[in-house]
Amino acid sequence: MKFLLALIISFSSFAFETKVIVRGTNDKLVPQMVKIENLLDQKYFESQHFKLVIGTTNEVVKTSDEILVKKAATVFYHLNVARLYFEKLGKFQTEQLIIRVNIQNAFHKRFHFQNAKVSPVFNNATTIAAGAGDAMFDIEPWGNEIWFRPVKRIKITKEFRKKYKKSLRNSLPRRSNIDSEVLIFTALNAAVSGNITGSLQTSGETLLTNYLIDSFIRVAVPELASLLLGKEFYFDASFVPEVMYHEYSHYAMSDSVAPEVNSSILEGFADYFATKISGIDELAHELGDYGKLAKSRSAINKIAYDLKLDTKLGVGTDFVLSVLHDIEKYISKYEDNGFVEKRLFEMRKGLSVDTNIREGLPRLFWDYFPEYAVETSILLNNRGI
Amino acid sequence: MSFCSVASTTTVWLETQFREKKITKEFNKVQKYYSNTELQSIFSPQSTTCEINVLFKLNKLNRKTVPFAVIKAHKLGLIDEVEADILYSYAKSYSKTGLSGDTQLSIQSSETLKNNYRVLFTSGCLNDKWEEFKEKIILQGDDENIYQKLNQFALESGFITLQEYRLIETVRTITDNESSLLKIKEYHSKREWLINNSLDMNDTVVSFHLTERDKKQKSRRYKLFNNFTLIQIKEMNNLLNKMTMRFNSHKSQIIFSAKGGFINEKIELTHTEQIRLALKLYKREKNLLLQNDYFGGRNFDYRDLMTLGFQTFQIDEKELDGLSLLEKKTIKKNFWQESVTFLKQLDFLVAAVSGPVVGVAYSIGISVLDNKVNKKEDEKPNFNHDLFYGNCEEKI
Repeated sequence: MKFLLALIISFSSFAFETKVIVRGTNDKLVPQMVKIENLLDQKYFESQHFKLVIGTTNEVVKTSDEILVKKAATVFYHLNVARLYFEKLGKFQTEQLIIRVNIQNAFHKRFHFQNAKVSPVFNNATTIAAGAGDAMFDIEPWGNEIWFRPVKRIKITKEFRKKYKKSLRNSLPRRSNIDSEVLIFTALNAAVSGNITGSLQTSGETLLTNYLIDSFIRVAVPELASLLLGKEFYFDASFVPEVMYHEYSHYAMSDSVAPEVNSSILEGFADYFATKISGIDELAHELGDYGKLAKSRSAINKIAYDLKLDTKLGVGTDFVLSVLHDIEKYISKYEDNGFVEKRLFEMRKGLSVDTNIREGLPRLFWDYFPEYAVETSILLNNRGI
Repeated sequence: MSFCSVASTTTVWLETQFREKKITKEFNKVQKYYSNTELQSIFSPQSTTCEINVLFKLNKLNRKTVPFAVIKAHKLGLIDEVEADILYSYAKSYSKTGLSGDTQLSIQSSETLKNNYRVLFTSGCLNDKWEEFKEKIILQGDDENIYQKLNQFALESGFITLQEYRLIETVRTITDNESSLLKIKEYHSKREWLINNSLDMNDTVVSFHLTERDKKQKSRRYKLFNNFTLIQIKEMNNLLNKMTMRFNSHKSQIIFSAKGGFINEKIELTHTEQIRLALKLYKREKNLLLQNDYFGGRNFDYRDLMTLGFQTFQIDEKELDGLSLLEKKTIKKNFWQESVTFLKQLDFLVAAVSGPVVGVAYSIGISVLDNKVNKKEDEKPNFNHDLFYGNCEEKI
């Protein structure tokens, strides 16, 4: 009888149509009508693979919840897209994954949740590693989970604006400068010319004009950028498809490496798979109403390696993402579609939370792409690793 | 030709020089007069050992079409890249042969001259006999076109036919202008020697060969066979083998040991460090090699080595592509990029002439344009973390 019930449950699935946010023309985030399928019950966002709950509770999000339905449907829809992608790579999800929406609590390794009143978290998403719980404090064991934080508009302070302008000013190249070398050069030039006074006057005017233009640009550009900066920062992670893809990638890789640290390598791999699922080389870009001033990531950049990128703060994510794309581009000239993705997914077995870029990445490519060992080493070498 | 394994569908570099329409038109003209079987006979190994014979046999074609017959033969796989380069030089020269208006010469014995011309065309290869002919007919004067005048005189005197005139003019032009042009005979003998020394020949044309060739220049392969002696090629091959062996090594370590062999410290290199160390050693060994007398001051570059490695089956297409990535390519700017770079330099002039407001507007406008058209150079890697600091920034 129990078996029959289980069989009925596993075969009964419900679906309904609703609007979710997808990437439309020009990568803009737009609503689109889609079918939310495989629900165990028409009333709840729960399927064999995902269970969407609110905050730290076990309360499943209702399909009739007018406030949460768009958010939950978007999350549910895109997580399924990601799941089907990894099935193509040979990874089948066998457990039901808990997805928490609107959760403000930070993660605690031992107690599962930290007190949201002490340190609430907004404007991001995270994948957490499974935990054993703690019987002494009635903390139940938990599996891997994906958490979506609520959005919160954070005002840009004067201090932030000041720092922003300063860093922008410093990043502008100084095209001309009046220093002793330039003055000596000008004087020498004038000395060898026929008309010393005229030459000095012309050179002086040119130098001054150059200096004024440069100074004006160095003041005007940061001021203009500061004006365009707006007044606030926010990021609604649960409406940005590639965030779902990125977090699910962490989960898909969690059978080999637990999503415990934000190392550049692990974040870079998750970003790589997110770009493969979305088919777009950028992440968290063109956010429209769903984010402002959030840092986007791109597979198309040529940042050179620096030791500073090898931290557990994920600052080298862009770097790893672009390196993986570089290598894929090269190998794809010789291999069928999907070859590199499959191998890179296989590579998770060689990853650990301690794997770094400088030593770990060359070794991984040597081991997992033996037929391209030298070529991948050269590509990594060319990026400064 | 038996060496060449180029499939008939492969694009050969020479045809990329022309528009598709032109190539199709000219190939059709060749097809009209010579079937593929006939071309096979004309471009047979026996026939091509005397380059001028090939042109002689293509006499049904308009002279301008002869270079396209060479391209077609290469595309059909009848001749390889190097043979195509050599024959193309002859064909181009042949297509340009003309008559000069002036034939003022003081010939002492026209009968002797006539006989010498007949000897030139009776047996053997015209290419080989031209210098001998010149030695016999020593002409006075310092006119650099004196032998062209002589040939035209022979034509006008009826000693030679128009076709013979064009052939001999081709040989003369080639000898005068491309004195170091490799002969197909020499090329064949070099190949044979290398094959006998366990270096098989891979004549496949891959993208490397197409992209590494500058417009109106000869192929990398041609340069390899023309510029280097056999002993030099053999030594270059050894150098390449050592480098690739190091690249492919599974593990590499630096060991610090005390007197008596006790190991103080062992540092394992990453695979990227291994690549850089191998490159460092390659550069050192290359410089030592170039100091040898048998190199006689001749230099070779990394691409010569890649060409050789592929030609002798030491590296395959995939490896060739990968190893080529080590060399930093200089990106050539197009017209618009050059223009914007130039306009950028004029900002001070605009400011001086039109005042600071226009100057600033101009400066900002040009900066925006510059960002649009000019690709920013890749960021230079910072190799401070590296054991072989800065190695990759050096020219190989």
